[in-house]
Amino acid sequence: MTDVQRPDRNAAGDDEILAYVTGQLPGEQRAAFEARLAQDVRLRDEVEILVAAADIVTEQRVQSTADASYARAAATLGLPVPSVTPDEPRRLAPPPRSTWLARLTDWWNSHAGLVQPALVALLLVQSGVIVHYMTQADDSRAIDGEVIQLRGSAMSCNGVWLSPQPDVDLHALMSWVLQYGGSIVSGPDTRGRLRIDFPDQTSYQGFVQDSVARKLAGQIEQVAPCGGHDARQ
Amino acid sequence: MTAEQNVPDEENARPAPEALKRFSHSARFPLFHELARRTFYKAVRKSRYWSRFEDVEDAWQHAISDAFVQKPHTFQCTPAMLADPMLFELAVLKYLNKVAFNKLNDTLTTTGKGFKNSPSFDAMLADNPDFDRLYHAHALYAPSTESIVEKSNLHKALNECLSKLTVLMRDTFNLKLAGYSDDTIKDLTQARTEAAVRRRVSEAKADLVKCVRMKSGEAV
Repeated sequence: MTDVQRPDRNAAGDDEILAYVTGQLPGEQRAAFEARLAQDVRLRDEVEILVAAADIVTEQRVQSTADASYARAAATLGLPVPSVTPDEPRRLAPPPRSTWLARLTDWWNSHAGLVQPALVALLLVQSGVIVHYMTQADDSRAIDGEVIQLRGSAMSCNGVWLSPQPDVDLHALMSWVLQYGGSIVSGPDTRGRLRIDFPDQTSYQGFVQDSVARKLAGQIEQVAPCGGHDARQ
Repeated sequence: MTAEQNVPDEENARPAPEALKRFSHSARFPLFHELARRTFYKAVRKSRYWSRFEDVEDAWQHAISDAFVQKPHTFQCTPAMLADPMLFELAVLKYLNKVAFNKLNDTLTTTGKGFKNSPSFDAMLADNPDFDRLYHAHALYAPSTESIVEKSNLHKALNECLSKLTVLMRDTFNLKLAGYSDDTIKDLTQARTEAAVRRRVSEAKADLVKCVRMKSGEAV
């Protein structure tokens, strides 16, 4: 039996009732307490509750230490000693930590005051960076410094920004574009323009020079993504 | 006290060291040990509730050593006991408890925790029929029906109220009831200070008493 398992005898400072229940009240104080106990029903009731609680605790402890007690008796009697678990008070203390995870947990607990604000700040910065790139990179292409939105097809070197007439028939516009093999790849942008690309220079030239363009398009701006500059018609 | 004398009721009682040895090596012995030990603890809780758990266990282990190893000739039994396993077990049970009680009384006296008017084991049995029934029933305590109901209700309420405490508060309070000092409880529960232990104990006690009184229908 180690010292740490044995209850200490010093009752100084202990709650008087608990000290009485656990038999740690010195003689004179005990007599005085019992004199009060004889006249105070409520105090007697409280002591009875605590004694009953101590009974329950003892019963639990008797059961939890039964194997250890038998092992001790078996050793005395020269009988085979069964393996036993430690007594209850020792189980209350957590097992010694030796794994890297346990050490990390200890370090984390001891530095939580510094690490947690730092991680929150890092998270905020990362969120800002992610949002910044999402607004620029996703489905966007920069051509000559101009950011445009795509509609699912690749950019071509033969394209225009077309501003449709306010009352234009969209079906007629689409039919006209398709006649030259063009496709609407982007838009409308903030100015209401549609980006239309053509498969080759001939189709592009035919499109912009067609007389129908005056009826359907208010303005056609040529883009020169392959090295040239915009040219307005 | 080192020499215990078992006084048999019948004149033809004789020492039975071989019977004791056979019994201690029998398959029945582990269960007997558990029952007999529990009986002893119950009797101690009833008459020496202020005893420390470790002192009680030491007294019990002393009795095992004394009865089976150190002084096996001290225990005496009659031919009837030898012929009836139940009678034999009861005789061993009583003898072990007597030796353990005497050892515990010595310890309590040495540490200043004993009372001058603490009755002997035999006097305790003579004055209190409950004890005799306790030993005859092999750990089955047989108090009055009224007492059983009262204790049953109180224990039920206590168990419910104890289960409402947090694990840490319950462990701390249990250790306090077991007689451990605040300093030891601080180490066992990894509390920061002894003041924290005292606060936990005080809160647990107040909560427990209040809860039990409420369950008993008493105004708090």
